[in-house]
Amino acid sequence: MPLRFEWLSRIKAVEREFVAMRKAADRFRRDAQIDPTILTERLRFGEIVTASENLEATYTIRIFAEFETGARQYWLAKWGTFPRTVELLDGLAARRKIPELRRENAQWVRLYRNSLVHEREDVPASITITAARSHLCHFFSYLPRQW
Amino acid sequence: MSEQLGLKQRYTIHVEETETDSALQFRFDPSPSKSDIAARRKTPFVVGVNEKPNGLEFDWSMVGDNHAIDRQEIESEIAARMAERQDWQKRVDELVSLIEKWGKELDWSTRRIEKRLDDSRIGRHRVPALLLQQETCRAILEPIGRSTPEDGGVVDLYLMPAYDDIASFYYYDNQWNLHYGDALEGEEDPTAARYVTVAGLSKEALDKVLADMRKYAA
Repeated sequence: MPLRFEWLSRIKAVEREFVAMRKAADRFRRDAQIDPTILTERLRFGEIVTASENLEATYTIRIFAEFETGARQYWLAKWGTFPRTVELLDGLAARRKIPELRRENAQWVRLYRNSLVHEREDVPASITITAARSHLCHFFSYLPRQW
Repeated sequence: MSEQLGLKQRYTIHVEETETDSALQFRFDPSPSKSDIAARRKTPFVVGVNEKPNGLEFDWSMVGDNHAIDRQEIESEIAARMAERQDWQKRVDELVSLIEKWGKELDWSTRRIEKRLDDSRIGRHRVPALLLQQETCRAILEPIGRSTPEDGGVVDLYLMPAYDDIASFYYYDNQWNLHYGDALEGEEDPTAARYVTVAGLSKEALDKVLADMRKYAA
């Protein structure tokens, strides 16, 4: 499979993994409410709730990491440097003639990821993992088929 | 009296590709067991297998003189996995060929690309994926894996370049079945109503899915 499709497929796979974990977490939460004895290993119900609430954010961080790894692989192969992520996206947009809207959307996902990882005051509008995947795949589709 | 454990309990089995497409290596790592001191003394071993037109050719040259290994048992385990691997690859190829044929008849340009999949039981392998394009609307038919109930299989259809979910093909009841989000009244986004409809695989069903997708992409 050409590298571009390989990476697009990997980005999509993170979203599918999230859907699997979403369903598993929801079911576990429901079952634990009915039968708390399934909470072994000193697990507390509140911890399931917290994990469940943080699940989408966790996978958003992962989906961006997958995207960034692929983008960096291309950048490194082509230009051999390791720019900051913000510059990586801007640099790719400039060199691959990526439309401004696509660049902005990818930067929005990056900023949102940053707000999840680091405590920040200027938190951007939140974004669902589905929208994040869509924006990142759109951006990535402008990279060449192979490098 | 000691009970003879099954092969899968005694070994963790890894399937690895070699440089030759048709050759694989099966690595058998003895499973750790507190009660089985002998197992801890066992060493891992590798058996090569090559697909030939007249059957499988086993390569035991990497094993040495380990008399504790039941070669017949090992070969039958490998043969079972190789058969599963062939079945799955054939199944995907049949689906891709069918969609490719129907796609062309429905005026879509098509192009095959190769996808590599990892599967803990049958190892890393290659299957075809299919790109479809009509004017500016593009889609990809992408095999996901065979690890579904009854070892069936799932192949997804995505709208490109965003990789939005459009439909999925599931293999069960000895055939591929199409699951797609039949747009509900007033619902334009087919991904919002995913898997409402289950249809047998037909050119008409594919035409409807592709037409809905074009509407959504427009």
